[in-house]
Amino acid sequence: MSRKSVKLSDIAKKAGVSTVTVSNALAGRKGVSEELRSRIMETARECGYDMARYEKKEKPQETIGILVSDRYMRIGVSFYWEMYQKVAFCLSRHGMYSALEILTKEEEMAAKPSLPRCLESGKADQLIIIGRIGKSYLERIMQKAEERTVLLDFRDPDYNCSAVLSNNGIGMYRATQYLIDHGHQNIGFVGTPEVSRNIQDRFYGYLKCLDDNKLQLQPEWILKDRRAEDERETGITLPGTMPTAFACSSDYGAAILADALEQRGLRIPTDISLTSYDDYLYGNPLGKKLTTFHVDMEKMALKAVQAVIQNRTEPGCRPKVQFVDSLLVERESVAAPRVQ
Amino acid sequence: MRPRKSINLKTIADAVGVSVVSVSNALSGKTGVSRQLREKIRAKADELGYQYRYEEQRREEPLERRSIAVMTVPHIPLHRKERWSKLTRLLVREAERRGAVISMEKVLPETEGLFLIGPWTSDEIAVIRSRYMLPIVVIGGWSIYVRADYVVSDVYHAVYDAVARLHREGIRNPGMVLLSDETDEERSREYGFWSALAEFYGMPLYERRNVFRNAREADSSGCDALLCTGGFENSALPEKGRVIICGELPRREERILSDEEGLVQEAIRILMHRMKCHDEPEGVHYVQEISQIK
Repeated sequence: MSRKSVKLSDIAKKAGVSTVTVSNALAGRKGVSEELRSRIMETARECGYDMARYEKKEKPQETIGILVSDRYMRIGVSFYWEMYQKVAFCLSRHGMYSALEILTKEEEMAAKPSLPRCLESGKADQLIIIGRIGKSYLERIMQKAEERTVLLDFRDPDYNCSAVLSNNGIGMYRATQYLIDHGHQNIGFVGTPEVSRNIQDRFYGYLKCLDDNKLQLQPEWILKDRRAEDERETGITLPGTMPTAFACSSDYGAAILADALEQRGLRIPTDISLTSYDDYLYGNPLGKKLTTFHVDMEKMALKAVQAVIQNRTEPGCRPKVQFVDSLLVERESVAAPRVQ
Repeated sequence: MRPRKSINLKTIADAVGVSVVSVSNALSGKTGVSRQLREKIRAKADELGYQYRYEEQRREEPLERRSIAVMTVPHIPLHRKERWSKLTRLLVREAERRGAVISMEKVLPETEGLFLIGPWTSDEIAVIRSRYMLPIVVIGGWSIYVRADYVVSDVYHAVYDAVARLHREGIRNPGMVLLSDETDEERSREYGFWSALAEFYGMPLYERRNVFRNAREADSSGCDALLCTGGFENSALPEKGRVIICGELPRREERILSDEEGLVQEAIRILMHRMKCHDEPEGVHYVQEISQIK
């Protein structure tokens, strides 16, 4: 008798239960008592059902795959390395392991993308992706594992997937309002929104703050800090007429601006005030001075891990997109504007 | 007389083209069914009128008879009142269902937590906070100056996503009609709109195109799809092109609505946590809106 001729309904009839129960019993799902389960498995064996799949029932996966594009890991001591650390620690505290997989450019841009190795091999059943990755690669993952993936520091409205981000718009609004509360009315922006939606959202937070305070936006005071194509830094070109302050969309951009200001002999905060976003600038003296919106990586990591746990234990629930708010850390980069 | 279970799992399974097992797992929230398929099956079950009670496996914790006060923002114009009254009712119902003892508009000596509903001002929230020294969750507004928990609809991304979708569908020239810009929420939608215009339609960042103040302006704009916000029951809407309403009113087929259930759940989750742990408020919590775009 060939394997295919034994159906679930045959086993069900013989055991005196429904096909649904047989399926759940064999797969080890909830809703079937241990006693009934072993009875059904015995019955299945008797019927000649191929039990190979079910004999070796593995323990639930405890390894979570973490995928990061190597783009983000190259720029010195990077933000995403720290984020990964936080996630790994958090997973560990919840009794889980993490398997870090770095996505190379070739794999990411491949015409026919493959799945991340940790998923493909079955080593991990849940995935956290830190930082936006190429659309076609992401699409491939979503086809297979949308409900088992959590996006960290980006979102994609095309997929019904959990995501955790920092509160870009509000954070930038807070930083901009801080400048205004210290007397500034001419405030520029540093950042390249084309590079990332996070930066874009920050720009609109800045813009709304200006609008709510009835201040005018000057296009020449919007300074780009990166070349869009490859995200590496570029020197900032300071505008002809200068504002009295800049709201920077990242500490990284603030550092680049600070260099340009120094070359022009301008001091912070005496001549120009700065606020920024991230609170992540190691190895640069500016970091100790910068008033910046603190991105709470620990909380983001925690929420991502909680989302992973929820995906596993409550597969039916709707995935959430969460934005983690935080505080502006006040240091010494803001002073009242100099009276001309 | 029709038998009670004339629609059974098999009917649904056949209609969707899957096995009975899949239907059972999908409806009871078990693993083994992809989210996409699960939603398809549930939709079909609803469509066929299947009588079922599946437990939404939300980890629901009881509110253990905690005493909570609920206050609705006092100073809103009549035409906006209904929205906050409705949200208040939903919140009270859900909180009471979970065991809380609600006192309306009054803080009692035994009150342990406070919900403020609607766009309360910074000063009002600050006064309430210093007077009562209780954990506060505000639903429907936020203040930059007062540290509290604020549960707000993410209208920026809701509009951004809508425009992204319109772009995918081939809409060439989307517009937005701001019938009123009284509330922070209505104004926030503009930025989501411009953000999407900049990204998908190549508008320079600092420009502000395609936002109109009334239906007439919109009609003469040549836009092939219009997102309308700030409307009321009998607002005049544009007549040309496709119209998508942001918010409840006026009632049209294509809408983007705030997820009131979601706002309520999130607010309760947060206040419960604060009452238990007495930890610091976190600021703004966004809840995604619900898109009913065809």
